Amino acid sequence: MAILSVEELEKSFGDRQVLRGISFRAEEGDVVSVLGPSGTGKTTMLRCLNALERPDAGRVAIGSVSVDFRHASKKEVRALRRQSTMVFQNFNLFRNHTVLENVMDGLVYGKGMTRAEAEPLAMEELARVHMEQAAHLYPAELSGGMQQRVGIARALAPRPEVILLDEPTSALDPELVGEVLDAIRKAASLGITMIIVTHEMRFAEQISTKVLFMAEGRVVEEGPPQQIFHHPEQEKTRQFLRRMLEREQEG
Amino acid sequence: MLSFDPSYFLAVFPQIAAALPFTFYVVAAAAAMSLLAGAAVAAVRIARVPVLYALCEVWLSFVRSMPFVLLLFLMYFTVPAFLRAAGLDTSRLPKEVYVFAAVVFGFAPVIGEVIRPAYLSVDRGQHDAARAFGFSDFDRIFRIIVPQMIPVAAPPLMNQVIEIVKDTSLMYLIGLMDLMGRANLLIHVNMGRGKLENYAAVALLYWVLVAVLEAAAQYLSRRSSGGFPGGAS
Ligand SMILES: Nc1ncnc2c1ncn2[C@@H]1O[C@H](COP(=O)(O)OP(=O)(O)OP(=O)(O)O)[C@@H](O)[C@H]1O
Ligand SMILES: [Mg+2]
Repeated sequence: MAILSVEELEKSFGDRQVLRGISFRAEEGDVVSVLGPSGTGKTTMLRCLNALERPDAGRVAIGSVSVDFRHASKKEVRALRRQSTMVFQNFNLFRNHTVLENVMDGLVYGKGMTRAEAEPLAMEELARVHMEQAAHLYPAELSGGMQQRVGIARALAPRPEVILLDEPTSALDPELVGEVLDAIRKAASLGITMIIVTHEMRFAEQISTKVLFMAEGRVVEEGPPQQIFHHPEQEKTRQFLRRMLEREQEG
Repeated sequence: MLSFDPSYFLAVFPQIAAALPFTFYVVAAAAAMSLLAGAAVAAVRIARVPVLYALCEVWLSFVRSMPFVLLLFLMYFTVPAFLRAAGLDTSRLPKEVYVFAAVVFGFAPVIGEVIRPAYLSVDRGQHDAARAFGFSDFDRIFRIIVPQMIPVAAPPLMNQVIEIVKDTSLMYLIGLMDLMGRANLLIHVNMGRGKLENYAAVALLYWVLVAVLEAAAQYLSRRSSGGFPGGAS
């Protein structure tokens, strides 16, 4: 049984159709990398999985919750949101809360735990990303890399069915990318299913169990990393990979 | 000839200061009601509720050009007529109700224009994160968004409260015994003498009142926002 299944997602902004029928599945423990050119709808697709963007049509099922977006109630949407957490490109830690409170928040406000129940769990996640020393600092007092590690601890704490990550390292200075990728590897080693939009090709190849290549609002090709990176079938995929590899060699 | 009698001043000062609690009550209640109404106006404008949005714009432009004294008289002379038409007895209505009505009418759209940009100053990503982590709408707004609005909204809101403090000093015109009302009464019973001493006492009390309000606002905004760094950016 798939832990995540997406069927025929469609989304337009005004008269511009951004998602043109996206379907895919992930099994429990899968790390699915989503690749594709800029403006292709990767972020939009990810934000549809927790209804931060409301799809015009399609179905998303995560764990035990299945939502048909043609007629989804507010209650269903919130139930779907509780199945996943998210790591944002710009971190989006709550600025008025400390590091520890940020990690507790999903447990307290999302899952209804008491603060006493949530605090030890949150400390454990902070220790996992080596941020326990910063527990009582505010996000504005941290480097981008540290903020994103907290972002990962925050996403892990509620033990969601799926963690959604949107380019978690692309807002970071190059020297801070490594520590965040390490934190993501650790999260993956816990066996939690992850959907990760990324431009880090080497990392995607190492960490993924499955790769999705998107272009122009469609899934062009999907398969194990071995296949997508070394034997892509579609010309679009080959072109994209060639361009990305050139860029990585330059950089 | 202008003269100032210190002993008369000291005699009237406590009598005028006795009106401070009533003055404070009217100001605080009027400000609280205006804040709630202002939040509603801001919500209408942020959500761009059709029709109401346009009405709020007309309302704002109307009250911006109205002196407060006119709003007060309009409420004082028209509201009872409406209430009586609705079959209500207005004879026992406390007069400060007209002050509340005038303040809310005059300030709600202005305060809405203070709250709206403060709301919009909070990054959209903060809403996204709260939603993605399963917050209810109430928790998203009151645990995450409002605390981040406070450092932005507190100074201009305080300015509006000070405007309310000053504008409501006109309430003596409809016969309420606030600081000005007391001073005028004392001058009247003193056959028109001692104006300077009485008005000096009122001036001093207003000065203290506003200073205390400002200090309280600073203390509250520091506490309720948790004093997080980078809050006012
Ligand atoms: N809220 C929005 N309103 C209007 N258009 C939007 C909105 N969000 C995204 N778009 C448009 O949808 C298209 C897809 O955007 P999206 O951010 O999903 O692409 P992406 O694949 O994540 O790109 P990138 O790799 O640059 O992050 C773009 O053309 C973008 O301009
Ligand atoms: Mg994107």
